[in-house]
Amino acid sequence: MPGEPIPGLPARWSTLRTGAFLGGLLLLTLIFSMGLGSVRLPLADDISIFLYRVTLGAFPANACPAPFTVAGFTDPCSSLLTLWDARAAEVFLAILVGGALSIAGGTMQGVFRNPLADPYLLGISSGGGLGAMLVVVGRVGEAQSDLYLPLFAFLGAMATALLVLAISSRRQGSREILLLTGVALAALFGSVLTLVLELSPAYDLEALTFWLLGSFGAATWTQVGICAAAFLSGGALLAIQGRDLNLLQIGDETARGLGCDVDRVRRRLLLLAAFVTAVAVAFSGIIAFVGLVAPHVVRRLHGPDYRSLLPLTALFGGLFMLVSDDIADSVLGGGALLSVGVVTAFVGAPFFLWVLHRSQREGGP
Amino acid sequence: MTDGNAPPSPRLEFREVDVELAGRAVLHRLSFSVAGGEMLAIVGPNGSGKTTLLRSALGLQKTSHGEVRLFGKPVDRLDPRQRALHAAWLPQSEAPADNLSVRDYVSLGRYPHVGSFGAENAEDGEAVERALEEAELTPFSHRGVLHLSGGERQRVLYARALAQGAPLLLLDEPTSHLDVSYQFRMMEQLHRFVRSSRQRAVILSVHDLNLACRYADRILWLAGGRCVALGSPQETITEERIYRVFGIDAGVHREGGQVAVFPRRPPPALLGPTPGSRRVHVICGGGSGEELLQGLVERGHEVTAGTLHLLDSDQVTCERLHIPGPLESPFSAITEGTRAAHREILARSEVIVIAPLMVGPGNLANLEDALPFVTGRPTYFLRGVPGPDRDFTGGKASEVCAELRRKGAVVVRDLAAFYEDLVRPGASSKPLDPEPLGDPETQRDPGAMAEEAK
Repeated sequence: MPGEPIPGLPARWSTLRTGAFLGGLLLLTLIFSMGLGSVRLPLADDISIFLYRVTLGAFPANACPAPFTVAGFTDPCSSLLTLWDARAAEVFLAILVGGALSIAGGTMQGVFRNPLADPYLLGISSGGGLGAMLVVVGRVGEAQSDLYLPLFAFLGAMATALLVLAISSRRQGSREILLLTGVALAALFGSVLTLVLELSPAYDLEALTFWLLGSFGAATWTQVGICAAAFLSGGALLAIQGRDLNLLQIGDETARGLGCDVDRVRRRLLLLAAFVTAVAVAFSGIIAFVGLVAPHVVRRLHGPDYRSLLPLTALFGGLFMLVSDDIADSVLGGGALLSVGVVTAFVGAPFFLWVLHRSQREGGP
Repeated sequence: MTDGNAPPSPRLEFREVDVELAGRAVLHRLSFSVAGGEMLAIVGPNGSGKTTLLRSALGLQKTSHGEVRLFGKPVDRLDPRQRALHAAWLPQSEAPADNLSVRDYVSLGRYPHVGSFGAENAEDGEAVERALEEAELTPFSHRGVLHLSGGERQRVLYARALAQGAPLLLLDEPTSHLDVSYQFRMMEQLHRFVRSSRQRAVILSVHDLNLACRYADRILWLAGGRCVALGSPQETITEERIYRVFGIDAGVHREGGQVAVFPRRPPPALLGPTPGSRRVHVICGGGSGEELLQGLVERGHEVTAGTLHLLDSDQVTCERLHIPGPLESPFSAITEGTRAAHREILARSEVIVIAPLMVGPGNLANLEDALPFVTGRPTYFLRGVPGPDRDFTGGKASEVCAELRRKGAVVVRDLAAFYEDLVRPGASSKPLDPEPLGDPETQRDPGAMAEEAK
């Protein structure tokens, strides 16, 4: 009965329809966002360059807007395309990171049966950030830092995830302990990260805000490629395990009775979530709250079935991150850039309080 | 699993199983097995280990001694998914965190078939539809599980267990939230389920002894983690066992190969003193006091009985109701020692009632014992004074009764009048006039008599 309101569940489109809706919205936002780089383009030019790039130069024949010149460039058209490409990398990275953090957040909420779980709030993002920091400060494999950054970030995120898992399984059922542990770890890693960065020659304010608040300003296509590969593989692996996550929601005991090796499944899901988180953090710094907000919005929109929740969450998270980045880029004006993490926290922190309040009132997750 | 011709190995077997939870022994040397085609009910009070038994059957609970074998294999050596393909478990309750639809929830039962990464195929879909239909949930299939009533949610769990398609069902109080109609429908389905194949078996814990009697092939009685009886309902359901295992007073009725259990009011010894209760002494025998004894106990009075012969039906009633009184060996005359004990009890009583009993040489002494105590105590003949039809002592009993009447004993026509009079404030234990007023031979209303006593 698609489209018909279901008593007890939100009115629901088919997963495909919701997915197409979110995907369409994302595509529109993407085209619009291209024009919001350091060089602002009128929408018509933005669309024509987009088509030019997507069709690999076949259409339109000349992407360069005739009346449009960029002051100070001898070859306005190719310079424009270069600038546009850099902005495109930024936009794509934002979408991928948003998707990765959101699918990780959705997974963590399911794994811990805790509506407040999120890569940032559990300290996993910060663990990853600290791992990546070691590459920056230790100048490990400088030439291939795009490979070493995610690798070390993953090690840091994985170690944190296992620590959080151990703590949560020792104190069964205490959601507060889990969350407080995560928040404490996040604060600890954040301060260690700051300290290490300040002591290192690589320190400057920009680097610090990059790691602590996140940014896509330095995105490269290599990073987009690595992030896409990690997100598509890790995210897809997570998305097809929606059934396991559904099973975890009905309780460990029943899940075991149904033949699920609960501990192994939990560990596997959490490590995959840590993996996609780590790759995101390695290239964009620590961006808070996206992983918390996106799954909850999708739950309201489409219901709690993890089989559809995870893919839709990834789409919505990409959209959310992109819009946040656009806002961060435009809100101050005059070329001044705000860190994207400021925007996500501005939206996410009140949201966190709302979810906390609601779950306290209902007395259950 | 065995194939069709060979007799199937036990579906489930417990061999001297001990289970400890937090250092406390929950199951103790439990041994039993369940054959194919059988329905076994587990009964026992709360905390007797029923849930632990079912959890150990599925390997969810580690045993500290002994072995559990599922389909002939040690359960702890089976892979979890294999286990779930053999046995489906219905937990007592579940607290789902998410509001999945009923259909999605039931389809989780297909997990052992599909696994983490597989996709559900047509067969899985059919199994889910069939299970929804069996549990009569098809109209609910789009509803969210968090918005169901307790009974509906229990049927969702049942449907999920059915969808699992396992030959062995382990059901932990599957009927506890169901209305009477669904209880019977579920039990009928389970009955058909086990009878349809020698491979199948059902083990369920129930609190409703009547459901267990009606449907189970065998009943395992669990008390304090030990099996105290195991056998067919006909063999194992007795009033004594129900009392010993559950501490309740219940009657057992057998008719046409069926057994039914009905609880009685708990004895006052278990309830504590009731305000306004009297110490009532009943002289009875041969079943003449059965209704009276039961009625007095139910009304909260402290009841004692006159001397009874062992195995006399009133003696059995007294034992069941925990009514004290002197005992005598069957068919023998009452000895002087027993009579002394009887007089002691009489001395402590407030009211004496003489049930419409047959009086013979064996129990005449009971009436004689009462003679000195009538003075000062309201004394009643229930439904008339023993006449020639009830006097088998050649007139001696009639003489004693006439004497009792002279001393103040009155006649009450029926139980209702007696119970009413017993709690009437006027009919107190104040001493009555030793000489009764009026003609002792006429029946009098006991209330009026009490008035006269003033």
